[in-house]
Amino acid sequence: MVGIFIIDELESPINFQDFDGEINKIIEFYGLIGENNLPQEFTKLLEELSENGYNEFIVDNSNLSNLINQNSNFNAKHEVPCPLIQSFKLNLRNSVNKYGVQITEEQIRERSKKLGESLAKKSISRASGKDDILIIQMSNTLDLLKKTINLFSTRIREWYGLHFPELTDKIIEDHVVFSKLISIIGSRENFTKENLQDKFSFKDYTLNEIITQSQNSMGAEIDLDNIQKYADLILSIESYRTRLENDLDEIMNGATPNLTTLVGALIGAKLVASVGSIKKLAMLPASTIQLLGAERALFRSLKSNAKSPKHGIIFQWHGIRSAKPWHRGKISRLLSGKISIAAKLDYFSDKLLGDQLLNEVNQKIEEIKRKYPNPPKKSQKKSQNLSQKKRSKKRR
Amino acid sequence: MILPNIRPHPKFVNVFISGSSEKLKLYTKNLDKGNVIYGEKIILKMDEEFRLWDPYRSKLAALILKGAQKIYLERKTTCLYLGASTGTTISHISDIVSNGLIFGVEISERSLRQLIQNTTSRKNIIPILGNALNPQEYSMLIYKPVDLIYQDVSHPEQANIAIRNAKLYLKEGGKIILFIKSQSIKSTEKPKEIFKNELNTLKNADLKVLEKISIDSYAGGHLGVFLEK
Ligand SMILES: C[S@@+](CC[C@H](N)C(=O)[O-])C[C@H]1O[C@@H](n2cnc3c(N)ncnc32)[C@H](O)[C@@H]1O
Repeated sequence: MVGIFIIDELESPINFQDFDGEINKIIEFYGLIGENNLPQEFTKLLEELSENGYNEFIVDNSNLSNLINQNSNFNAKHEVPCPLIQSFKLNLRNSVNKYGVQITEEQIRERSKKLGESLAKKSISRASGKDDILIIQMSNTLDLLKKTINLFSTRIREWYGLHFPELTDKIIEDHVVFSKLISIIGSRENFTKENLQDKFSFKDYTLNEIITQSQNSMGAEIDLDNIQKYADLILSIESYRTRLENDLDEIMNGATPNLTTLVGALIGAKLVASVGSIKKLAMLPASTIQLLGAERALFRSLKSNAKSPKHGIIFQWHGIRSAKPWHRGKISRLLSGKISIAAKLDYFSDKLLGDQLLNEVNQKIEEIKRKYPNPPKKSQKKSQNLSQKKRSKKRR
Repeated sequence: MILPNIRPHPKFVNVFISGSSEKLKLYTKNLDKGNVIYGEKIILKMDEEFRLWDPYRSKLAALILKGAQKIYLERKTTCLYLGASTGTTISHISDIVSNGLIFGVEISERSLRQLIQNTTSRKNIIPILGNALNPQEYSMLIYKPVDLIYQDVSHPEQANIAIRNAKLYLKEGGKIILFIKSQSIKSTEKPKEIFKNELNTLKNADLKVLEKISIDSYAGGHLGVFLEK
């Protein structure tokens, strides 16, 4: 924290190299050792030592002792804990005073705080690769689970439809609720008010609709045992999916707090997964981020002259999904710009500005809504004509 | 709204209480005014901010409410905190040792990142990314012997962690507060066995057991142990 100090067995000073109180030098020093490079300060000291006839010493850092042994004629023993070094360090202020280095308690405290913070941050940005793999695997698994639940649910709706065809996806839209009804209530005779109110919280209208339909059903009597087991299977996939989603949420909040605040963990993770790492995402321009996940559509549009897609993964963001069609392009441009900033903040800094970014997006969306209340009928045609012109030019 | 009658704790420096003895609430005086760490409630009183100290979130608060005789924290105490996490308990200790120092060691990068963000303006907290099982790793940052080791790490080798850190950094006569969780060691052993084994290891390393307090009602399965070097 202060410099490199050499002492002899009797704890009397031999030589030292000061960091001049420059915190960056100190951080760099530990960074170099961590990456297996011998810092310049140290080489200088070694030269001076060898001029004075020394050839052996003890250090308490294993990286350092390896480096010295490889790069010089010195024999550096690695010894931990070395009581001499330990007592030097634990009385740092007095120890360095013997070398004529004056430093106040306050200065030492400030330095160790800064050094602690910097070492932690350095390792964090180096280590973020560990999170990438987890995020990608979890995100892809979540995608598959969602598809599986949809697929399984379509099947169970059809199967259960033999028994209670009136319970359509118009009444029960949610796949999971549908499976829960089958698992918990099962036979349509059991669709009573008490049973339904006990385990579910339907709105009155839906509740009455279900009960009426169940009483007038045209379905057949069939054995429900296997269907109920199938419903349980769907529910257990769903419960695993929720769990995985929670874990991903936690990881995303740690690894990319700004991105996660802005678009949520799921979309954030999909973006990371589609490019391979947080780092890569942080390097992308907004225009590319806007199209991530729409590569197929983009390709198609290039081949067939179809309208080029405006949004990829970010289309799933609620603010775009719920927007008027003629607002979506503008919002997705806006959002991808902010995503690009958030990812850069996450990768290159420690700042937490996600809330601010989200606020800015929401404000701009309000502006867009105010400015363009009606669909732009004419201009749309114009732009179509325009792009057709462009294309015909290309063909020529 | 009636403000709670906040008053100094009869035994512990810089710890404050309100309410009657059955419904005692703990507080510490916010050293970093205007900031909260884990969404804790703040009571303003005479230009001071008192941060409510939640025994369900912080095992030290639980120990106090369970009647600990001493917590070994004075204004100038130097403390080594193992398992600093995102800063819940360490921030209250930081309030208490207002002129002291805390070295906070945490192995999880994510948690430490949060901690640094939460406590960067608290001058008495030194954040350290490191593995408490290898205390040598962070010897370049610890420039002073410590009076107290506070250990709340979710790691099976509680006793070993305490012994190694005490050997390197704890003053002669210094104290250790640590928590043993029955499940965290080996899930097959019975809680009683686990406690006994760990305590034996500690005793064999010449650490004297001063006091044991169960905080089961606040943190399931946890036993707080006070030791002396
Ligand atoms: C129960 S939490 C501590 C909570 C904290 N003491 C508080 O009350 O605010 C346990 C912490 O120990 C950390 N931990 C686990 N093994 C560790 C190790 N070997 N070295 C340092 N920290 C470790 C975990 O990452 C976790 O943050």
